[in-house]
Amino acid sequence: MPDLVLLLAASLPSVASINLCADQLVLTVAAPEQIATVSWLSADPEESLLAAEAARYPLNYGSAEELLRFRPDVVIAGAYTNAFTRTLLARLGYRVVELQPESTVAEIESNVRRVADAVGRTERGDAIVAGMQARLHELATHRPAHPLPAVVIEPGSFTVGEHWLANELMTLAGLRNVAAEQGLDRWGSLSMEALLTSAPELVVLTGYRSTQPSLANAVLDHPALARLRARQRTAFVSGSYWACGLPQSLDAVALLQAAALEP
Amino acid sequence: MMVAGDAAPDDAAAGRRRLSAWLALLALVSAGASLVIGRSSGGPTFGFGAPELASTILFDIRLPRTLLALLVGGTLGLCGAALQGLLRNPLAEPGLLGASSGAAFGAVLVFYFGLAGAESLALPAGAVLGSLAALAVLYGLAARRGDFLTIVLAGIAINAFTAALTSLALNFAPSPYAALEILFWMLGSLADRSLAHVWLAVPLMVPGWLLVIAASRGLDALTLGEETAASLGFDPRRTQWLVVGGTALAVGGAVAVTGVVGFVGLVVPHLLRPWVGHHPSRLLLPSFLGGAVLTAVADIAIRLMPPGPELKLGVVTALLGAPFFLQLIMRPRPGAAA
Amino acid sequence: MTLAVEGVGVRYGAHVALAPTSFAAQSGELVALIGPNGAGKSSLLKALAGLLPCSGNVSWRGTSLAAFDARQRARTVAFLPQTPVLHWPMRVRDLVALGRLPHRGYGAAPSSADDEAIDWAMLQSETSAYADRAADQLSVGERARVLLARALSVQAPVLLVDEPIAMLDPYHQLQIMTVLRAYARDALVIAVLHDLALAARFCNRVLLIDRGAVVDDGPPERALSPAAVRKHYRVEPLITSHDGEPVIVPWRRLGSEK
Repeated sequence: MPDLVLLLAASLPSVASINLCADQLVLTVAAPEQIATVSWLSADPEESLLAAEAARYPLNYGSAEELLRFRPDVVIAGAYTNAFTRTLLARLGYRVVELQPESTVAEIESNVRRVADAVGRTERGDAIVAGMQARLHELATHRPAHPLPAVVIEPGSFTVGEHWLANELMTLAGLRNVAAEQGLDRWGSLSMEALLTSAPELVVLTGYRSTQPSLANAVLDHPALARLRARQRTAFVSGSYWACGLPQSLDAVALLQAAALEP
Repeated sequence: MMVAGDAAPDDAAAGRRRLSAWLALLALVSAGASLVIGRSSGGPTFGFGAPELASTILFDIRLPRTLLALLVGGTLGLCGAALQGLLRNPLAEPGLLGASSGAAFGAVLVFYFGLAGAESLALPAGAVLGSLAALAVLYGLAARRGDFLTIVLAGIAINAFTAALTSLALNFAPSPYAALEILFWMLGSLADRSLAHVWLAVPLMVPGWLLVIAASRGLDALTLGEETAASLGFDPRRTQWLVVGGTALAVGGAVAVTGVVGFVGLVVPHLLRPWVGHHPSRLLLPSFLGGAVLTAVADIAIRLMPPGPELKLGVVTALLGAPFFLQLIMRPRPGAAA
Repeated sequence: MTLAVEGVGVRYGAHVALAPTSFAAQSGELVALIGPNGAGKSSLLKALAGLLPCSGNVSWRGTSLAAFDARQRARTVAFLPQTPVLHWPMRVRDLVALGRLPHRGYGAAPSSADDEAIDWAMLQSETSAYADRAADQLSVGERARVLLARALSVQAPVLLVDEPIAMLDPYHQLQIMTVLRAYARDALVIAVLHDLALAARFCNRVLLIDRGAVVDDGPPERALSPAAVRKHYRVEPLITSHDGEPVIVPWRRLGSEK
């Protein structure tokens, strides 16, 4: 039997990933021995939930020439990044799988299955999706009795609206996204006035390199925002949970629920 | 001082031929280096890697990149020289007139909001239309009062307007990643272009070059002002349209495949002008070659950087070109005041 | 060979710069266009050069200039504008060589005829000494002569020059007038001039223009008579003669000085 396992592993296609979100799906779905390379951002703990895992593999910067040297059987990429590299690799006969950004849990499941199929581990994909379903079922039992009005504030005073993954995760956690209720589609900037009038009871902050000074983070020190945070409940959830749609994104639902249910 | 005589013009002509020969040689050398130098995750590499990959790396990855560096750089140098000759001002360049930003906006629209893939003909078409639209608006604004100030002010306004339109496009980008890609694309890059991109750009560049070159004698005549140029049989309007149309086509084709590469069209003609005795038509060929050299060298410099994500071409051409340019304009010019 | 001007008029919007004007001039004539500022001299000259939209018709040797193609017309009529324009500090000889553009095909190297014409024009304008200097190293007067050399090098049978001596010192004023008279031996030269003495001395015909109309056309002695100068220039001339040639010097403004 061990021989057979080895044989199976050897026959799995080798995979290169060139996009942060693709990297994390590949790290979650593929067998370690079939991962040839992942992109450099996924080894950065500020960007990636799987930085430690990613650091075990050779990192790439997403150019065709360096990818060629890894001789991958399949290249996993994001639909919006490395447009010229994707085109060139496809022209050179490589199998390139392009992942659309996920804005719902269903889309995460579909991307998990696509990556699993591409790396030859369909069963592993099925198992992960089944695990996600079970997790969702369990999370649904912890929803607050009444949906709690909440808002996400990202650095640069961006917030999220309808048709965006963070919004879906908030809904699953039993929160009402006040920005979405005001008609924000996908993502946009947050008006301080609209924020104050909508009176959210939970403010969700997603730090990003909060130790490094930046204009984007300076927005979080706005006096109006500071007063709001003093009065309302505040939760910190890393943006990495929903910057990419991953099975691990459901952890954010648990974090949001914990913040909402805090006495 | 030289004695005026029969030998002088021949000396000058021989000097110009030497200049062009040197620049052509430099272009060849940098093209050779560009084919040999690559980049992997660990930084620069030399040679072509494993034998079974060598032909792919050489012909499918580095050759298109090298060809585009030469063609795009040459286009920017040539069009910069022609626009400076047309406006009779060394500050002119495709970027100043809004041709590049118009092309970028057209391409960005097609790239992200059309249904076009990166290689479809829609992308260069969008860039050319954007470039033509920007230059047509410029011409419409400036044709009534064809003085330099009007043209430059109109160019600045068009630049600001197209930049605002591009920002608008960023606002409506389908995802933050798409917005980031637009921003990166506007800084210019030759990475991972294929021969298909060469074949997309060349049919636009070559007619553009020909139009610009057809204007060369008209540019010489314009040295003496529009009235004298017209009296010499070169209608300034015709010269303007040749240069403006040629620039729109060629720069549109270039921007369509590389994004915006700044500074080459400004700095190269300016550096080379004294070498050709400030003669507008004699500046065209050296500027083409010089632009090709500067762009190829900048693209090599990108690959020689320590490990990390690739720098953007427009950033490096400015980093390389600006110090040269400053040194040139700060140098006291003997005999400038007469 | 005759330049026939029939009903040529210029207007800028509603303003009539030049009323329809007709005259004929031949090879061998050096014609002075004389008149106060704003009279329409430059407008007439530019209309003849085909640089302004105008009414009427100009023909050379019986063929309308409008029927000439651009290069043919440029070889036939050379023009030197009033304001010297020189945008790039090109080498002087290269600048003069621009006058040969209408004679050269695209991309063609200068022929020996081109070289001869350039050398001749520089010799005439006494600019050969700085053939290899950059144009930004020239004085205003030197530059004016280089630009005249450029116009001469076209070797056109019709030469139109607008104030060719305005920026020159007395020596070079006389020299350039001599050159123009020599050029006019087998060509037609029409020159806008303000120097009445030089006009009277070198030109064999004067077109006196005032307020957009030709008011006299004849030999200098008649067109520049004291009465004409008083009427059109509003100055009292001092008129004498030297070596048998008339000398006209504007002496005082009428009605203002004693």
